[in-house]
Amino acid sequence: MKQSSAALKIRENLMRAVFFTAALASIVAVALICVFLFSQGLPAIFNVGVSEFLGGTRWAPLNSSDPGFGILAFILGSIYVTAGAIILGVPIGIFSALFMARMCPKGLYRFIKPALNLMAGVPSVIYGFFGMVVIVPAIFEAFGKQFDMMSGNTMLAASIILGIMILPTVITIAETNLRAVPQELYEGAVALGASHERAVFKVVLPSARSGVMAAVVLGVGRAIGETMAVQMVAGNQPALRLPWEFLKGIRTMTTNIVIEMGYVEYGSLHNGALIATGVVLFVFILIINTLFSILNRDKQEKRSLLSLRAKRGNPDTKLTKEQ
Amino acid sequence: MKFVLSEVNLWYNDFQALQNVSMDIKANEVTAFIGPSGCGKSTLIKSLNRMNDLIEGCKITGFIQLDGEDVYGSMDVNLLRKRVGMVFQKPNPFPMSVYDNIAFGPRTHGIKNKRELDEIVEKSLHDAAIWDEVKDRLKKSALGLSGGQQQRLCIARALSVSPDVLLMDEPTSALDPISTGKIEDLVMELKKNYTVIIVTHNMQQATRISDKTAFFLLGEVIEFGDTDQIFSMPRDKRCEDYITGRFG
Amino acid sequence: MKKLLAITLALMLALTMVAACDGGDGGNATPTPTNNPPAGGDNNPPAGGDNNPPAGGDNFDADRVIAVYTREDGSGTRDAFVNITGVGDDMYIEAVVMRETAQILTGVETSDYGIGYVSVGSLSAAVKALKIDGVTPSNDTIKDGSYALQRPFLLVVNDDKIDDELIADFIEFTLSKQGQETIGTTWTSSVDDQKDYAASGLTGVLKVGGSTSVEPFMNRLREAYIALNPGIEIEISGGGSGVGINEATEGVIDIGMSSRSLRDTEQHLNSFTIALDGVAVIVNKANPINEMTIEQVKDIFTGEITRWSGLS
Repeated sequence: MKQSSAALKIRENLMRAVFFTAALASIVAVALICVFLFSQGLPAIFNVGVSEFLGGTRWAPLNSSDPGFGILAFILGSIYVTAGAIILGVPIGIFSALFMARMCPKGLYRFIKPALNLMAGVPSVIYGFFGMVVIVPAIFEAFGKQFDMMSGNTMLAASIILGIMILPTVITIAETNLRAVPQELYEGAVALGASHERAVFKVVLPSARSGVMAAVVLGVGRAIGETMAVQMVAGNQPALRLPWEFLKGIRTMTTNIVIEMGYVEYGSLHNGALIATGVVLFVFILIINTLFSILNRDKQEKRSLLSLRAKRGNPDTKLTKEQ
Repeated sequence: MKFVLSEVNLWYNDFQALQNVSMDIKANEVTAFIGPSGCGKSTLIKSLNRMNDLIEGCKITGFIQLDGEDVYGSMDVNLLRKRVGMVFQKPNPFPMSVYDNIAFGPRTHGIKNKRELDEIVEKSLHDAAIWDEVKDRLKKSALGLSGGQQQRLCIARALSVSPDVLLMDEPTSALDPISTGKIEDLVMELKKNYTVIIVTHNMQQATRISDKTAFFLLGEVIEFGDTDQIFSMPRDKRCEDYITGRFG
Repeated sequence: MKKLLAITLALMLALTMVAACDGGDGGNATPTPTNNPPAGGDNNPPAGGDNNPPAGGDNFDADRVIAVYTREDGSGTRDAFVNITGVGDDMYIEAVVMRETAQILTGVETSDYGIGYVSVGSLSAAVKALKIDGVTPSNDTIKDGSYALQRPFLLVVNDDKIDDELIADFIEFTLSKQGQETIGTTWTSSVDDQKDYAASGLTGVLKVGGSTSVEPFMNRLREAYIALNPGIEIEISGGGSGVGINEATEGVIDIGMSSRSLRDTEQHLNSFTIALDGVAVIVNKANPINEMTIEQVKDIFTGEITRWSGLS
């Protein structure tokens, strides 16, 4: 008797250690990446000077006489193409999610859903290729003469491709959240005489607001980190752009790293500067993810707290502070 | 007569939920539907404002008339639902401010003028006896109210579109006794201006507030008449058994 | 939610204003195109048949912007190109940056108004290679020096080391058939009389350093050489042609690599030309232009000339 319970205890502890190690492994991986990024990147940032690095508009690392390590153009580049992707992709994504969740005939849904999953699995190179062969020439055809363009390799092309790439993410998560809205809310709206569309747009969609926001935030994260596809269509000029110059080519933080990484001398300031670009990117992603968890956690806590109070049916409980 | 029902049969796919239901519902009265679970009470009131249309596979035959008009005829279903309001079992306020909850109905039906909306909101909240409790927090989220308050809010919301009829599907079953009492008082007030049809499991509630009562069993209306008479001298044995608690 | 949106928008606007203030000088000057209309005779009609006459020559609108394609900063081809043409550090900032030869070729192939550069060994029939100063690029014209867009790869050795057995053997290998084989199509061989090399079986360490453009070639040579002589180790360092020449002079290294010819002050070194690096300038087949001067090439790639009509 005693022996078997001791053996059991040992086995349990062993398994716990195994699971713990596995969980630790992922944390260690992220930690190592952080250490690598910051240990190599931060010295470079300080060497160049924080304001010169983040705010400098001249990137010319191989210029022997007067090297420049300013990445402002690329920070803005990442922001612009991501913003463009959001403008193009999010409305389509949300409307698609609404359609699929609340208006789609079952037969059609059976086709759309797997197609969406397929889209999510397509590698970025393919999207980039599609962009190169279809989108870039199309843009040049449409605007080349009128706007005196060199080529269709533009911010617009990058935003279009990114907009398409974030669709599966945005749609899937938004759709799940829209479906999760309690049917009673929809029924309540319809019972007041609202049409199906009005009930969906004015009641169901706002009820899923935080979930849809989370979907958008995730889409932003995807867009800002995309490298391959952007590099193939964006033009990659290291030039500083203004937001309305979307018919000009641009370079993002990610493409800057991938374009020059192959030739850098290990240990040089150039190398450090590229890794430092990675640091900035990392910080961006961190901010986005934090935003995501704040959005989720906040609304989640709020909702459960309020529903608990409603269930208890406390008569006339006035809230002490607005939540 | 507000509602005239004649030989109404309803199927959910193959299951027949209502059998040959016929009754006349008078205006400005409270009519209660009682009976054991699953015997057609909720199904019937959902047929009165065509909420059953939302359910796939639902088929209905027979006649339902509202003020002489066929409910399932050429009547605009959205206008029907404006005239025939509904309060659900679980309070379902929209995740918006109190004001926007009440204003949703009027806005749906074309009222945009702010002063008009303000008036409607205030009147509805008054009629639902909840104005004093929310007048200082109109712009705050409706989800912050207690359960009883939320249900009265839903009643106010239903009243905001000036319906003729109010359908209430077990409106107090999720609430505590004090809130229940408040809502029962409210119903007694409301019947002066509205026709109320209320589904309830609580027979004491039925005796307290209703003028007429209909007893349902397995999709049929077994007995329908004055509440006093149903509860003191039920004609049908099954009705008597249910009332005295022998089953259900 | 609204607050977040407002803050984000404000941030973007602020960043934009900072950027606008900094980039206020406009970046690239768009020069007024030279007013000389292209007369019928300045585009030499193609001699022989190596340049296909432009099919849609009438549709070529010379007022259109030149679509400039360049390689990324750090590419050996770009390095050669900017050095030979004199573009140097002033590559046109609006030039579209492509990461590979194949992408440059595709870019120029699909863009009627495109221009780019690739190493001569990578030319494809889908694009038109311009004559430079009247000469068509090919291995032959590079070898005989008539094609101007080229530079030599040199190995330099100081006098006091020239008799070293190991050094001499390696140089012999480099100029041999086996050594020159490693050039492949990437560069051009300049050695006419290629002898057969027999493994010497020597041992020791060779220090080679200098031009990073020559380095890829040196890597190939090293691999082939060590395969034949396993007892030898070659340490390769970079630093650029200048560094290689200096260190060879000072004796810090045994052999220096240079991707330019020696200056007068450097004539004390013994130099061996081990390969020639040629760069071709390519345009779309629909382009009626068949040749350019190096000066014109430089002007296009620095952004001095931005339209095809600007070529006088």
